Amino acid sequence: MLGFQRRDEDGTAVFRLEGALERDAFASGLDAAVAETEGDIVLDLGAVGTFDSAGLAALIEVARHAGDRLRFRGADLGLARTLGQLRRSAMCEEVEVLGAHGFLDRVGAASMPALEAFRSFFDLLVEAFYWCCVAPFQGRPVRGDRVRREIERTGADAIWIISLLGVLMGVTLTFQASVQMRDFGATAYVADLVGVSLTRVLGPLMAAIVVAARSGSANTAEIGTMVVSEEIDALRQMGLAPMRWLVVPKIVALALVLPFLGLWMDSVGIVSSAVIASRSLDLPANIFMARVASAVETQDILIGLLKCSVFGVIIGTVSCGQGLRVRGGADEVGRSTTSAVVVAILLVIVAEAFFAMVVQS
Amino acid sequence: MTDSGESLFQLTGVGHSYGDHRVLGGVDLQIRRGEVFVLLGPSGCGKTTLLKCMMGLLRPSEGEVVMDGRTLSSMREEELNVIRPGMGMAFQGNALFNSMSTIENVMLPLIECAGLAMDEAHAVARMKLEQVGLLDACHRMPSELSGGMQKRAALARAMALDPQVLFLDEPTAGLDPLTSAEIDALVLTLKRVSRVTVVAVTHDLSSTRTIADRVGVILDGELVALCAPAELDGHADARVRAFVERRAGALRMPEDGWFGENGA
Repeated sequence: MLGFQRRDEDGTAVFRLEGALERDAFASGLDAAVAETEGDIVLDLGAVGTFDSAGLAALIEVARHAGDRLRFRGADLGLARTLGQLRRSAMCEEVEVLGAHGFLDRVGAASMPALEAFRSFFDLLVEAFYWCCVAPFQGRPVRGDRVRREIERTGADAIWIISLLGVLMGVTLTFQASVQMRDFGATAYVADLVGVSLTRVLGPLMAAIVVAARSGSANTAEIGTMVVSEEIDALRQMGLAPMRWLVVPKIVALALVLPFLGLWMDSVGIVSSAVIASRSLDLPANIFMARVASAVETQDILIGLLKCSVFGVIIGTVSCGQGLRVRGGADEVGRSTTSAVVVAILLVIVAEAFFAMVVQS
Repeated sequence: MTDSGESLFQLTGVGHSYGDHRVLGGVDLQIRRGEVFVLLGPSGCGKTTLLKCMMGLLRPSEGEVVMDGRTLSSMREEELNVIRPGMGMAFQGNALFNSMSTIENVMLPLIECAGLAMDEAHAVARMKLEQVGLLDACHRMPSELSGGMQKRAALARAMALDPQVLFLDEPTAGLDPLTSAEIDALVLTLKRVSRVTVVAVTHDLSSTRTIADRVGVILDGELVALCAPAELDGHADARVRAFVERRAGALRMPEDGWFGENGA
């Protein structure tokens, strides 16, 4: 069992550790005692007997929390060598970083990856624009066969989940709206509300969220795995630009297919809402559809389609960009996939807010 | 080798850093046309980085790489894409496309780079797979192949476009000694049949002695020796001798057994 005694030497708190430095060192209270201490700290290891990895890990945790105020002394040769070896590792460098830098440095260090990610997103967007709009005029067209393959994967294969969500959206909106409208005797306006809200906002947004979660994650995982297994290098080595062969077809496919998915979700939502309204609200389906037709303008549908295309470009660029940024192994692929879905959905909502402001003005 | 003296690659002061971490420093090297040149060194010494600099997959932080009079290190990606089909590469992890069958992997460069029609590419791919003894498994997916078979498939794909130089990244890593010997024999056969220049990186001393015409030893990012394989033992540089002895020692069982059981 590890024990310790504290004494002061010229303003420095010296903790003398005694006993075996083993797993129970985590429960020794040393971490808390060191945390409460201000000023320089010395851990005297002269009376430490045997030690194992768990005890060392506990010691390193104490050192990490204390930062650069802490020094070791009195360790025997074996312990000193092990600590020396660990001091060269990232774990102990982190001690120095945490201790040596202030709040602003840490905020800066934490912001840099986000800025770097934004810059690489923008670079990829510019490069994708080049391959879509400039390269075809230089004799390097977008690969139609790859785009068709991606359309099938991201569009046709997603029809069922989009349909299901469309039905659920229509049903939910109908019931929620009817509760409010019934008090005013205005249940007929449920059709207007469902039609306008689905075509202007909810259809495109929900379709984009589903596609970001489904196809965006798949894109990141696929490309990330290809980076890890050197398949991207293999493509480059064959003289095939990964942007043209892999990334641009995915972005183009998403930009083309998402408007159709959004439109499909609108349609399914409105039809399911009409069915529910005819059964529960005594609002005949033909009257419901006539009200929808009068409430929804062509402009609403066109803006919805345009938004879907923009969302497709955002999802494609973010997901492929995150895949290409993968370094390391399988865990990094998982992290990048999660990050791609979160960032894509966030940017889609930001774009939605931007569209709302522009349309309103 | 009819033109063994002619230089295919000329590397001058090639160095590379990943961020602040310098992995390769000031490598000067010539690789002759038609030879099998092996870069030997321990894991993490910068061999693969040097190989990728030579292929233009990495742009060196310093120095220049010249191939056949063309400076690869200053070329744009589009210019490199024109040259790269002339270089075949078998990656350490094989880098076979898992969504394609073995034969489709070999057909890919034939269709995409050489512009062959599907049936022409199929015929050439079958021939390449036959060369590496993998014709029977040509319709299997990469995940259904053993480690040695995947290496063969990667070799067949690397050789698909009849490159003038073949890069091999750890061609025998992770293989048992018998399969390693088969891969070594295959590399020598391909070199003899195709007269291709081979640049291989490995930490496998036995494989190096079998296939290499010349060896470059890289330690901690520095090219410390350039010699024939037979000159590795008793090399003038003590670091090279130590590395060779360590590698050779790693293959011998200690006198008291792997777990000290003989002496217990």
